[in-house]
Amino acid sequence: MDKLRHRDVIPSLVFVLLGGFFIFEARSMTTFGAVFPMLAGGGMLIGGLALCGRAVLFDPISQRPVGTFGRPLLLLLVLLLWALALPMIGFAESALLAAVTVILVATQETPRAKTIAAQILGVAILIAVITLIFGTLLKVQLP
Amino acid sequence: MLDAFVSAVTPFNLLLALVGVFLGTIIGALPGLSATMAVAVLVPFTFTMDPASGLIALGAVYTGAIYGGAYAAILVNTPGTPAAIATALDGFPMAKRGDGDLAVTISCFASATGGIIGALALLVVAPPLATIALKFGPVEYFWLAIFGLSLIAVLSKGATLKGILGGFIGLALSTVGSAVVGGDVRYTFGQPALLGGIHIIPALIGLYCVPVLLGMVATNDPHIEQAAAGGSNRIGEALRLLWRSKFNLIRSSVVGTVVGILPAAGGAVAGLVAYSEARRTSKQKDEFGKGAADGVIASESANSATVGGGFVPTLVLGIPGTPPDAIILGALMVQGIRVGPQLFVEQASTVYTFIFGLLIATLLMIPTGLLIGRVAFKSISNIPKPALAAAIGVLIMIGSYAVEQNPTHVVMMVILGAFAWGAARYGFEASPIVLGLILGPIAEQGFVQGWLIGTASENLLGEFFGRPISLAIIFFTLMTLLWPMWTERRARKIREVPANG
Repeated sequence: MDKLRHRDVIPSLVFVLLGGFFIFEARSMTTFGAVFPMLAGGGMLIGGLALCGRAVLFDPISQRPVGTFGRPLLLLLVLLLWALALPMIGFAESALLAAVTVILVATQETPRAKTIAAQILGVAILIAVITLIFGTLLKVQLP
Repeated sequence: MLDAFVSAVTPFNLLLALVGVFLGTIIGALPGLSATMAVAVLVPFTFTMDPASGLIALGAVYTGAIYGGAYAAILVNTPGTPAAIATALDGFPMAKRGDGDLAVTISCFASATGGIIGALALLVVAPPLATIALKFGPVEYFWLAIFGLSLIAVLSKGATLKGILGGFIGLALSTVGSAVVGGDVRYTFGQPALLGGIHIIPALIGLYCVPVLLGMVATNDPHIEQAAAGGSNRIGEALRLLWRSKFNLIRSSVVGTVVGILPAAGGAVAGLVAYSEARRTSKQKDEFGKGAADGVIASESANSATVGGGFVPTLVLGIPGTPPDAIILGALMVQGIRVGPQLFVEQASTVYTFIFGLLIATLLMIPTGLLIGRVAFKSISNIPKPALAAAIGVLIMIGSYAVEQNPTHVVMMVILGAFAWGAARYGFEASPIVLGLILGPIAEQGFVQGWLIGTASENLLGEFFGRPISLAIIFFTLMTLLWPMWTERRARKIREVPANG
C-alpha cells in the first residue's frame, strides 16, 4: 500500500491519461496528421505505465523538492492574474501593480519600508525604460 | 580582396560593426527579444547606406544577438534565444556555484571563435559548401531531428525514463495547431489563438524561466553566488580552459558552420549537436549538466558559427538559412543585389567587404561582450532577490507579448511555466520538453514528406535508409545512444579485474 504513495505514481497516472487523450483525439485525424500525435500519445501512455510500474515494484529513491510550496504558488497566481490583466489595463499599469506584488511576495524577512520603496522605484524605472524601448524604438504596440 | 578589406575597416564601417554588436548583444540577452527582431528593426536604417555597410550593420547585430542569448541562459537559466538552450544546461549551474563571470567570459571567447570560423568558411568555401545544403532533403532533416531527440537520453542520464517522457510531452505540445502536412487542426479546443501552434519563444520563457522565478521565492538562498570581491572577468582562467578544450572548440565551430548551412536547422540544433558530441567525447562526461565549462564552450562556439554558415545558402542560393537571414535577403533585394553564385564574381567587392566586416564585428564582440558580461553578472548577483524577481517578471511578460503582440502568448507562457514547475517538483527537467517542442515539427515534416516521396518512387526503405547523408546521421545517432553504454560497460570490466585478480 505504501508503494502506491510513491511520488512518481501521480505524475505517471497524469501521463497515462494525457497519452490516452492524445490517442483518442488522433482517431479523427487524417492518416498523416495522426502519426505524430499517436506517437506522442503512445509514448506518454507507455512511459506513464512504466514509471508507475517502476514506482510500485521497485520503490526507487525520489528526491523531494527544496523550499516552500505556498509562496511559489502565490507568485504563480500573481503571474497568471498579471497575464490576464495585461491586455485589459495596459502593460505599464499592470506591470507596476504586479511588480509591487511580486516584491512583497518575494520578501522573506520582515520588510523595511525604505528597502521596499527603493526596490519598487528601481523596478518602476525598469518598466519605464522597457516601455520606451519597446513602444518607441522597437515600435511594438503595447496594450 | 585587399580592397574589400580596406573598405571594411573604414571608420564608418568599424563604427557600424561596434554599435551593431553592442545593440545586438543587449537585445539577444533579453528573453523574448530575438535576433530576428533585432535585425528586422535595423533593416530600414540600412536603406540609405551603401550595400556593404548595410550588410555589415545587419551582420553585426545578428552576431551580437546570437551571442547575447548566453547571458540570460547563464544568469537566469532562460535562453535569450533558442540558440542558447544548450548553454543553459551548464552555464546556469556554473553561475549557481559562483562561476557565472567565468561562464560569461568563456562564452564570449567561444562565441568569437565560432563566429570567426563561420565567417572564414563563408569567405573561403561558400559556393562549394552551398552544394551540401542542396543535398539535404526531407529525410535528412527527419534523421537530423531524430539525432537531436536522441540527445534527450544523453542529457537525462540518471533520470532517463523521466527525460524520455519529457521528450514525448514536448512532441505532444509540438502537434498543437495545424498539422505541417494535411492541414489537420489538432488539440486547439476551438481556440483560434492555438491554430498557429505553441510559439517557441513564450514556451522557452515559460518552461525555463518561470520555474526559476518560482524557485527564487521558495527559499532564502541567493539566486546565484555573488562575484568574488575585486574579481575581474577571470580572463586568464577562461583562456586556459579554452586552450585545454581546443579540439572541442574547433569541432563545435565546424559543426555549427555545417549545421548553419542547412536552412531551418538553426542555432538551437547546432548548439545541441555540438553539446552532445562534446559530452560523448569528454573524459568527464558526468560533469556535463552540472557546470562543465566544455558544455558552454561547445554550445556557444557552435551557435555563433551558424551566423557565417547561414549566410552560405543565403548568398549563394538565395535560400535563407534562418529568419534573420531571410530579413537580410530582403534587405539585399531592396538594395538591388541579386544573390546567387554570380554574386561572388559580379559583386565581389560588396560581398567580401561584408565578410571582412563580419569578421571584424566578431572580433569586436570580445571587448563588448566582456564589458557587458561583467556588468550583467555583477548586477544579477548583487540585486536583492525581490527586486530581481520583479524585474524578471516584467521581462518575461514583455518578452512573451512582444513576439507577435498576442496576449494569448503571455497566458500560454504562464501555463507552461506552471506545468514545468509542477513537473520539476516531481523530477522532470525542462530541456527534454523543449527539445521535443523544437524538433517535433522538423521530424514530422521530414517524415511525412519522406514517406510521400518514398511511396511515390516505390522505394520507401531506400528513401529512409539508403541515402549516404541519412546513413551518416543514423550512425551518429546510434553512437550517441550506444557509446556511453559501451564505455560504461568497459569501465566496469576494468574495475572488476583487480577485484578478481
